[in-house]
Amino acid sequence: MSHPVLEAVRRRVTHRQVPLGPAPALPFDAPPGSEAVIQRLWASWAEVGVHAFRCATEAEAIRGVVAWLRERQIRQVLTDARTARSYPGLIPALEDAGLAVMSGTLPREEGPRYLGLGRWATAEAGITEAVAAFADTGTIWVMGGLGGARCASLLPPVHLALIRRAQVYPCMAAWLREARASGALMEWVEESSAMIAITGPSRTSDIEKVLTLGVHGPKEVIAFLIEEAG
Amino acid sequence: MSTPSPAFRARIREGLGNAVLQEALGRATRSFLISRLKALSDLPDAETVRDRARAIRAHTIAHLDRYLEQFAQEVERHGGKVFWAATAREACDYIVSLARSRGIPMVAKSKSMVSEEIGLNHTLEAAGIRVVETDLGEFIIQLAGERPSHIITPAIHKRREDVSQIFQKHLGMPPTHEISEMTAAARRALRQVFLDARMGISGVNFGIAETGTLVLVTNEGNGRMVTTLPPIHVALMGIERVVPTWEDTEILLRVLARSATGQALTAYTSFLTGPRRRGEPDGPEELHVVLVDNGRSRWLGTPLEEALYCIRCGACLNACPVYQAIGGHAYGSVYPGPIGSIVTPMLGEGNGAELAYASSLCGACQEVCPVRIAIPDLLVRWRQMRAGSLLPAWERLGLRGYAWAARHPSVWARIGRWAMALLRRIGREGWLRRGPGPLRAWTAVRDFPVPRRSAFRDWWASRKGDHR
Repeated sequence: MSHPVLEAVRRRVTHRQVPLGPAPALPFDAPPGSEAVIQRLWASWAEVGVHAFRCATEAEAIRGVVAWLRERQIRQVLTDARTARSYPGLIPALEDAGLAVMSGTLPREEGPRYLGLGRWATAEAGITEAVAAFADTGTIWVMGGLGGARCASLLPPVHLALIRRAQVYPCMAAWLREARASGALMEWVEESSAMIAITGPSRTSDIEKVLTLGVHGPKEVIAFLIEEAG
Repeated sequence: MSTPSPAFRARIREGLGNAVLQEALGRATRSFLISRLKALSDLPDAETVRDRARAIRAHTIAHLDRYLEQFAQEVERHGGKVFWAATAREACDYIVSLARSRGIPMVAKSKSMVSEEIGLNHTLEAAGIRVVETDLGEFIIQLAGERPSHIITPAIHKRREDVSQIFQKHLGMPPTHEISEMTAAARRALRQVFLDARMGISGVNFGIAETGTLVLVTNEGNGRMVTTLPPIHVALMGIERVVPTWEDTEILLRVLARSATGQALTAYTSFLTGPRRRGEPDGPEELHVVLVDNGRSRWLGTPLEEALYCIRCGACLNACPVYQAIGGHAYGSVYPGPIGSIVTPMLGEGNGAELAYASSLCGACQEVCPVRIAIPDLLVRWRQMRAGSLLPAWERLGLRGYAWAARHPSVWARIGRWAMALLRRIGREGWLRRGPGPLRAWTAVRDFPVPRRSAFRDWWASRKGDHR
């Protein structure tokens, strides 16, 4: 690869050796899915403004999602194929409850794509699975990839996330270590144009440093933590 | 004489004289500093993390050729297009011609310091393409027709009353003093912009070399919107933003938000690799990464290359007593504050080297810098470079005389007594506010106390017997 900019860089870089020094400790360390990790996640969620429910089973979580939406009198939701694959009971349960469920693919042509986005933008809540959560920061880790929609956790004013206990890691560094060792990190990168770490609702303090939620993304993030393994 | 230009002096006076700005700056910088301290004290091993973060940046800059090439190859392997821009002009031209070729009337932008640096908005608008800033602070500033005054909170100098007026005028918002209502008005206006825009332009916090992944941190979610909804995403990235691996990036993320806003992580950290893939329901159809040099490569291998370690957290602005007093606009540059005073002349922007004097060299900036950039040393280097080229002959001669006298104690003592007598005569009420001749320029921005009694060496000689 050659370009005048790259050539200019090549001419001037020092290539000096820089000792990296000792690796710092993990921000938080405990086995994934352990009670210590769950406790820490709960505290972090409270701090960043994620409202959370603990559910014994997947079925209970789905019932919880439906009940929550009903209580808010929400009628239209946006979800995606990735979430439906991991939680097959979700869309049928939503439809049984009389909710209009949008879950599909934006066309690639500009006009139809624009119309599709416009429809998605009317959703009152978005539902996605999380592929992991990080306890130290209260982060929900969502992915694109096959069937993974970026918009479901972005466009609606509320984002509901489904997470299994075993997916809760002490911190991002611990997840990375495992994903690197197993090869999952590179698989994610190859299949997914977007991996998003969501840490609480959309927020701004741009006016007089006063915190306001939901400026562009969701104003509320609701997590359903499922005890049973998938 | 090392004094600010008349224009810089006028901006400093304006900043110092603006009571509203003073109050807002004081409130914002104080709260940022307190949050930062708390966030870093909650992070285990924080000092080791900072050492590692610095080492990662130093290593990357020392081997920038290798990581840039790898990054560019990986972006392309994942379906993105890379454009190398040697100058601001080349970067702007590429984006304008891309927008023109697709017949794009309007672009949605999230925060990008590089776009300010290269004057992108101006160029796009001159080409008839409307640009909408979507970060709330940037949006306010754009509607007001101003420049950002802080790199993290660009509208730090605006009160809620100002914002209310601006939104009433431009968005037709009913009068209110409720910040939540103002934010809601901006959400409605900008939501339509996100949906309508056929091109989104973003900055880049880090570019991961091993996978060609762009990392963007935002709190509002506008960064996610402009990189997701429009069919074309253009990412503007300074060539120094590259980071070797995901693990390195994670280390830098541990200190970035903590140093910037005092959050452990911002609300959204996006890791974007290439455009929308087969099987993905959404995302941009095209990704263009514009790698901007614009003077950066010139400083590699020089002592100033350390300034390229900067991860743009803004902590040095908040900690700087000069920034706290004069605000971002006084610097008259895109990058304000201590690091801005170093970076601005490196990027060849305006008469930047005089900014090196907008510092008391107190060292607070280096203290808070997450990658421990020796900011005061670099400021002194700029002063030396500027002094070497700009000092008039009489001043160089004077300094040589000063150096000679300082090496000869009896001469030094005599000159000292004369100077004291002179200062006492021309001073008023104990202060010298307007010096004679060449001293006038120096005293224009500083008050000098008139010596009160005798010289220290006379006083010392007279008491010598007492304390021995």
